Amino acid sequence: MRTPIDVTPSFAVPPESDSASLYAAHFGFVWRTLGYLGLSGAAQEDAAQDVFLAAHRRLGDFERRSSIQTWLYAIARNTARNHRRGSGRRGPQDELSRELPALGRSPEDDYQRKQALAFVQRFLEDLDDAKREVFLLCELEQLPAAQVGELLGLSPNTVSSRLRLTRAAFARAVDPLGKESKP
Amino acid sequence: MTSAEEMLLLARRAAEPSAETRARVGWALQAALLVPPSLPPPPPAAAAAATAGAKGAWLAAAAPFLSVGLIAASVGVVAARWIPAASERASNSLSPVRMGKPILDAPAPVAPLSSMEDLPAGPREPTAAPSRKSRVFEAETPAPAPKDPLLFVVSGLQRAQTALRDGHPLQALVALNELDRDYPSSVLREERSAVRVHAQCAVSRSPASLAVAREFLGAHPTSLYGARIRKACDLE
Repeated sequence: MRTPIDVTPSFAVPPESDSASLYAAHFGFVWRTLGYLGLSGAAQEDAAQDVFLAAHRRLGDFERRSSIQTWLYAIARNTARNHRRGSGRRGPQDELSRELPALGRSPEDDYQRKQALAFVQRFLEDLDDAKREVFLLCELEQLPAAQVGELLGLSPNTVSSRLRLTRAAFARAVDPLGKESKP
Repeated sequence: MTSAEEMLLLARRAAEPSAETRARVGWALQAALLVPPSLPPPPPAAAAAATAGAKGAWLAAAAPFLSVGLIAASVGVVAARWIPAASERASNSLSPVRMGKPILDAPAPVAPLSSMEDLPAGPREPTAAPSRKSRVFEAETPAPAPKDPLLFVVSGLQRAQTALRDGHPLQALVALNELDRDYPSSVLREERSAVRVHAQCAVSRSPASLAVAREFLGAHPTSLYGARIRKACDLE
């Protein structure tokens, strides 16, 4: 059963009519996006606030030509860029997270997860914008390629092509010598 | 060696916000977009000071429409996790025999309390909420009015202060929102505002929280709570 704000990013969510609904429906998406784009800890919280404050300010001007998630993604991307610029491009590991390990998870689990996230952040940082968006939305947010194409105004073939190339690059980054694929 | 799929799975899990984070950001947004309901309109000078900051204009705008939704969104999760414990803690800590006689005997006007810790404990009766279900989710059916509004407000404030003192500012804010929902009156307005400002700064000393604190200090320049709020919000 869903909690009032536990909404998985989905385009089945009806168009939000006010900022509160927007927050309820899309906080998770905005938060994860900011995290993938390299923010953590207090900077991530500040940026999340900024995204929703900006969305609140501009919601009346939103013409719904694009999905609200695309619109939020664009705000989150710009906000993340500004925050990182402002903080001198501090990496995710430079800042202590305010989160304590969740109950039922060992510190080792948390460490492993944070390491994985840091790796993905560095990988995304090196991608060009076009590939980053496709990889983030398809691979990390796990949206269907057709939906991502609709979101970004790309043909399904273009999305698939970019995704294939980026997946291959990610696999090489994780396993440069290809040991995993060898028997 | 971690495979690419495993790496992505771990990263996705690490990127998920916790319930506390959702609530904390929700509260900060609420603070940025709302003048707390119990805070009286600031004088022009205080309002000008409050809007001087980068995000101060949000306070001047004081968009009221976010209150219900953000409270529902952020408090919903907080309440689901915290309220039962908070209610139990509050009811356990309330002592009917500690009800301060001076306040009971002089309902109007209410003399300022010497400190937030000096608020007398409320009686069990007005706040007794035997159900573990959060009252936050019962906005459509407000609690029946108690016989003495002052007692109800005092006990609500006591609940908020206990939570704040125990290091749970989000619980304190939930208690204050319940109180404001049930009693949006002027009873102990300054005290309610003071505890709210203190709790908001304890959650996050964000620009929005600091602007609310400055607004409180501007609206109540001689408040007994001034020093405490300056300290909590690091405005000294």
